[in-house]
Amino acid sequence: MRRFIVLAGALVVLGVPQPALAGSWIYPNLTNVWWTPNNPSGTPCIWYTDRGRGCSGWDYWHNSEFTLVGGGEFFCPGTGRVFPSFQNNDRIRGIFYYNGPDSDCYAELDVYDTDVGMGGWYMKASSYYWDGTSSRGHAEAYSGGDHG
Amino acid sequence: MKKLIIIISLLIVLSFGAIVAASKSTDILALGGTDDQPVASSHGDLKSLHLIGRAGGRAFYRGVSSDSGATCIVVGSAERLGEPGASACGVDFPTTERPIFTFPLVGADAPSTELKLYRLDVVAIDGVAAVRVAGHTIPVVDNVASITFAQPQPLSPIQALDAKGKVIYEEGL
Repeated sequence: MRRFIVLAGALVVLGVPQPALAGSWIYPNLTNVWWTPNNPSGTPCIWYTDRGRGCSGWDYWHNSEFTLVGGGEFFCPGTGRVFPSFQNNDRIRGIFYYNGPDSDCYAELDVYDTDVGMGGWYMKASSYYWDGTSSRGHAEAYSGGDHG
Repeated sequence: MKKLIIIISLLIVLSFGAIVAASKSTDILALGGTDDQPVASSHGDLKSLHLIGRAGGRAFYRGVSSDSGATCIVVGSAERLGEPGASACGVDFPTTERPIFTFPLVGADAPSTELKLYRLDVVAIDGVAAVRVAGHTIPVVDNVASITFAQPQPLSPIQALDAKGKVIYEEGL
């Protein structure tokens, strides 16, 4: 009887709809990932394929974020220009952040779709580590109200 | 006697804490602008938004990241107060080494791949009178400045100018 209850419970849990994961995209993993001015990460980007870059899949993205994380052997967090953005086959738009040498070892750089004229578009979220010293970090994208 | 020592120690610790807090406030006041009003944030990842000022249809804020607790500089449309359009948290601003923080909206349209400047939003510390980019000089009023270009401009360095028009800082773009 107890086995039956456990089995039934497991089936109920499996049957419950899980939260959709399509609403967010985090790449690459945080563990020891260098961002340099030419390394790719994530799914292919359409624009500037010779730059350090990470792109999401296609969705109605709302927020594109690049987070620089310092510490350990890495620059803290690194000096350079970071370009969180949105793109499709026709255009790319974003904020061209300059990250100075005295930043904290943690910097979050965000851009929202409506503010760069790409609100409501089906597109890729992208982040470029455009130039500067190599650093560690990750890119994130959110659709709908998943982030903020 | 022991109680007195404990009370005195406590007062010293509290005074030191107040001094530290005051010095942090001074940092923030360096870009206080004139409004400096608390504004409700429409995004959960940013809290404690305070309006620094408005310029060119844009609203500028300081805030705090809900994720990390880092101080943030935020900009968005002045028509949708409290809604961030771009934000930077944990950056090296405001400092004397970096007297301005810039939000350059750049992009490209196929088939050209040349990045161009569409808009520039700037937050500046006291003493910065104007910023210059692509041959345009934009006045800084209440610590903020903004320009939207009718025609996108080629990328060029952004300069901060003092009241005499002297370049006090330059940032590559």
